[in-house]
Amino acid sequence: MAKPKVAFFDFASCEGCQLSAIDLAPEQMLDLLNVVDIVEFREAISEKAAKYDIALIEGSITRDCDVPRLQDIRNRSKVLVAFGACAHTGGINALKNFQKKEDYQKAVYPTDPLKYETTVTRAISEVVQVDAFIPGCPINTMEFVRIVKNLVLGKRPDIPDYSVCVECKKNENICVYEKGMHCLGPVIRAGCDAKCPSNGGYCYGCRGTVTKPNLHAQKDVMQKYNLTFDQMTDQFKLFLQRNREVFKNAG
Amino acid sequence: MNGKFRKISKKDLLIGLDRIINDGRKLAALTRKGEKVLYDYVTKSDEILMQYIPTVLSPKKFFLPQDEVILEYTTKGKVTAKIEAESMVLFGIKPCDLHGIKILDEAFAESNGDPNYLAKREKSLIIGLDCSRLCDEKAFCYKVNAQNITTGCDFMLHNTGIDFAVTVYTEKGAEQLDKYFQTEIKSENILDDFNQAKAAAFSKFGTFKQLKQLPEIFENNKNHSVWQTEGDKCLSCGSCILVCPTCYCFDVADEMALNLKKGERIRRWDACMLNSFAVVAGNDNFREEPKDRLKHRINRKFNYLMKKHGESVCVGCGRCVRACLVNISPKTIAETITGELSTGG
Repeated sequence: MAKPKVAFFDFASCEGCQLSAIDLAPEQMLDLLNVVDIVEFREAISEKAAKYDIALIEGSITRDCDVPRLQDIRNRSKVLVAFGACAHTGGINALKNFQKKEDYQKAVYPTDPLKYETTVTRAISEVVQVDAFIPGCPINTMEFVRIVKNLVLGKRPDIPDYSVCVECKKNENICVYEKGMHCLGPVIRAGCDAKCPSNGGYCYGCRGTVTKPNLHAQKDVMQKYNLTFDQMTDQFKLFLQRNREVFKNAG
Repeated sequence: MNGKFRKISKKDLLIGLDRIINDGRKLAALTRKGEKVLYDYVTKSDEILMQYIPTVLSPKKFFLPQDEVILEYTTKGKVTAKIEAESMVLFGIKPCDLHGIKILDEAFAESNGDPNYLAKREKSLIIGLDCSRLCDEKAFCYKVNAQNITTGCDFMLHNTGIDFAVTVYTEKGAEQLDKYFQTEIKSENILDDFNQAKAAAFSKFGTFKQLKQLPEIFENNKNHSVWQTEGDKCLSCGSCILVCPTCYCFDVADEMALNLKKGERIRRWDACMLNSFAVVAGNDNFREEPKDRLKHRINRKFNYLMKKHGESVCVGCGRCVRACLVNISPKTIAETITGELSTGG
């Protein structure tokens, strides 16, 4: 069996997810390269290929010129994977969608705000068909490895579809709410081993919501713990701007 | 014990626990790790908390680990079952959790038995530590009579303030007690004072008025409005199941190594309150709404499994109540369905 051809691409992103993908021990890297053939990867190699079995897309879509490029990759790929929060949910790039275009253009390029064209930030699934996703900001390296194995073996990508609370409980954490902070964990997809709540933080929602989040209950909880409606909405803004359900009742 | 009563001094208790550790056996007890209070392995008896503070997880985790490799295989066809069990002592287990362990023992001994669970149980010694009062306002062990035990541990300690009175439940318990602990045999019933104080502390709390009839009542109330109202509140976060001492559902997954030449079969805790638990092949879901899953969960405790085990499978430890951000409680649901709540019972 020929090794599947794997390629990495980046759009609006910090490329941290790609770096996370190769944050492997040398022997793991050799195992990975025995299983797949990495044919394009700006972070590590300069070769190019015509077709891909698996294309991993990092970054969100923020310019019109991104669209034909992504569509072209889609047309040349058997399986296309949203790789990391920016591609999967729009990521923190989508924060700009809450502002006026002229304001953020001026903030980024004060001397020449119109030099670069830009559009509303979108997740890649809003532009092309996405076959699988690897969530997180950044992605979890071992989850990346697991999904590559799943795809190579022809299995369904094994991404948890339960809340971060599951992992917090497994880690026997004191609930973030009990510590007087707020947390999106109850409606956010686990798989990160509740990294932020387990280390003194709270869940920002970088992995997106579970399939059927009870957002009403989540909002009730946040209000019960003394958040105003605006403060609560701010909590959701960081990673969930493109999730229409989250902002359905909010400004 | 021929009408004789045994007691152990606090000093001798700690000496005995250190002997267990020095004997190379693993000792798990209530302890503090950073900000967390949990059951965990200790290396010295002075790490043990004698005063109970409710934990997130029950001691179930020692017999049914969160992730357990149950099989190893190679693509050449070699398959090896994996059963790991170490000699272990669990110290300071409370009556509610001992009820939980009893229920798990019955569940995992059924039909052919679960070799992984049973091997771990076989190699363990469980030392109970009785409660003299309710641990907090979220606990409701008294509702199902789980503050008292008749089985579930090898021997039980009752803190009388000065000493610990000992009740031995198993032969293994008697033998291990003699092996590690210096005890004193008394002719008078030193448990009396403890029992009286405990009975007084629990006297204002009673069981569900229709405790024995709960299965029937729940069976007849599948369409009660409480399922909808409580289900609508539910986050489906799964916390209640994760922390439950009697929930034992698991998922099994095969994981290949990255070299794709070998792999492991892993079983992991699963939770019936999660939407993903209820999804079956073809993407169908027989318990699509939170209310359906909540009804299933609570019926497992007070109906389906209660019939099977002959006692409530909710042990009233209160962990799910503490963990629930939206105040869903098996106690409140049962009281609503039995009508106790509205009648001020």
